[in-house]
This record gives sequence, C-alpha cells and structure tokens, in this order.
Amino acid sequence: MPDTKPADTKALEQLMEQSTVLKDGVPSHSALAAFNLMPSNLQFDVQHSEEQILLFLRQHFIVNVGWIVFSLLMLVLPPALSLFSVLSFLPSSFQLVLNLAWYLIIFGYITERFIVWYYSVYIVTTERIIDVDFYSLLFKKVSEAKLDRIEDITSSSGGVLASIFDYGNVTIQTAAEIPEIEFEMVPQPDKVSKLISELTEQNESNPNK
Amino acid sequence: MLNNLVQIFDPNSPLLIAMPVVFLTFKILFLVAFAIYVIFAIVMVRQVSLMARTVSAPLEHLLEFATLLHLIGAVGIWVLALVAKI
Repeated sequence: MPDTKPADTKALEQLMEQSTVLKDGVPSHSALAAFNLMPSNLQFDVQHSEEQILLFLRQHFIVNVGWIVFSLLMLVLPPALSLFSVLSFLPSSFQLVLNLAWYLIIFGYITERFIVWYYSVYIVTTERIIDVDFYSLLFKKVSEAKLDRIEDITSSSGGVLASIFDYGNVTIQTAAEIPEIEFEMVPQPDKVSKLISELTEQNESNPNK
Repeated sequence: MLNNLVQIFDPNSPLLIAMPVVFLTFKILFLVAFAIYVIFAIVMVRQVSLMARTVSAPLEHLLEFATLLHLIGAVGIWVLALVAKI
C-alpha cells in the first residue's frame, strides 16, 4: 500500500523519531502552560503553511508572583487599613467614584501584566526560532532566526527559585541579522537547548529539507 | 502632614479654603487624570487585538473581553465623576 501521508507530516514524524526531547515529551494543550511541546491550539501570524510549532514557550509562571502579590495587597490593604477614610472630606458620591477608580486601576494593572506575560512568547518551529517580546503594551520586539543560521546555544540557570522551579535562560547565537536571541526565564532550559541543538544538527545533516 | 491636610478642611480652621473651590479643583484634576487613563484603556484594547493577531492563543477572546470591560469601566467612572455632585 503506498504511503499517502503529506511530506510535512512525514518530515515531522522523522524529526520526532530523531529528537529525544520530542520523542519523550507529551503534547501540551493547556492554555496557561509555559512549556508547550507540539501544541495543536497555538498559531502565529507569520507561520508558513508547512511550518509546525515544535515548542511554544513563555516565561515560567513564577515570574508573575511578584505582581500578583502586589495586586492582592493593593486590593486588600486600603480597606483593611482604612486608607479610604482620608477621602472622608469629599462628598460620598465622589468617594464612591474614587473607590471604583482604585479597583478599576488594579484590574487594569492585573490585566496588563497578564497580557504582557501571556503574549511574550518564544517559538521553536520546524524551520526557525522566534522571540516575541512585549516589554509593555506599547513596546514590542519580534526576532527570528532560521535553524540553519544558529551557531551556538547556551542554557543558564541560577538562584534558589530557578533551581527549585527549573527555569533559566537559553541564549542562541546566530549568524543572522540579529546576532543573539535570548529565551528568558523559560521552564526546563536544558530541554529547550537540547531540542534546538537536535534540530540544528538535523538541519545540518539534511540541508535540503 | 495628614493633620495639616485635615486642618485645611476643618470648618473651624483659620486655614480654611472654601470647600466648593477645593472640591471643584479636585474634581477637575480627577477628570483630567482619568481622561488620560481612558486613553490608556483604549490603547490596551487596540494592543490586545494586535497581540492576538501576532500570536493566536486560546485565551485571546477572554483577554479581549477583559480589556473591553476595563475600557467600559473607565468610561463609566469618568462619566460618574463628571455627574457626581460636589
């Protein structure tokens, strides 16, 4: 019986056989996961028709703890410490407006921080690596490098939290226009660098792919 | 400092400023500041739709809804502040 699978599916299967990270990994479908191996529910705008996402990363969720704690304190502390009573000289209708404004600003802050974390992603595909950085709502930077332009990969991890939660940086030196792409505070940096290394090696051994 | 502030608004204080003037100034300052915040809320809605176009992820509709809710809230509070009696 002839093999009727499309060429890109066959290439992916071959890739999965050769890559220990992909072979041992479990595909992820979680909306909030920071380490998504072969996700089926994620796409990006400049994705080619035959290009498949192998790894979709965000910063480890632990990086959000600081602003979550700060937001909770801002929600709880003013009423607990009766800080709103400072406004008691104002008419009650305006006090209500200020209270509502306070909670709306906190809601806006939480939404903004979550969005920046959620959309700052690092993508490894069958063709390239992409780094989408949203520094704030107003500043965005997208860097990418083809797999055949990757020269060196370094993973680093340091500190108590990074050791406990297994996250760190993966620095990728490239021969492309952007000399360095850094995946910051990503989960399982060793696995990430191993996968990119395997892809680069495979790409070198099979340059016509 | 807080005591000084309270003293200004104390009806028996020699430092007393006419309350309507204080309230009106406070209200105008708040309206101006919050108008800037409304612009920020509009930018947020716009940026999230651009982000969703860059990376299509499962929570995009929820986040677009959250930013829209935030914008509606910001406009609502600005209007409430405008009509609030001083």
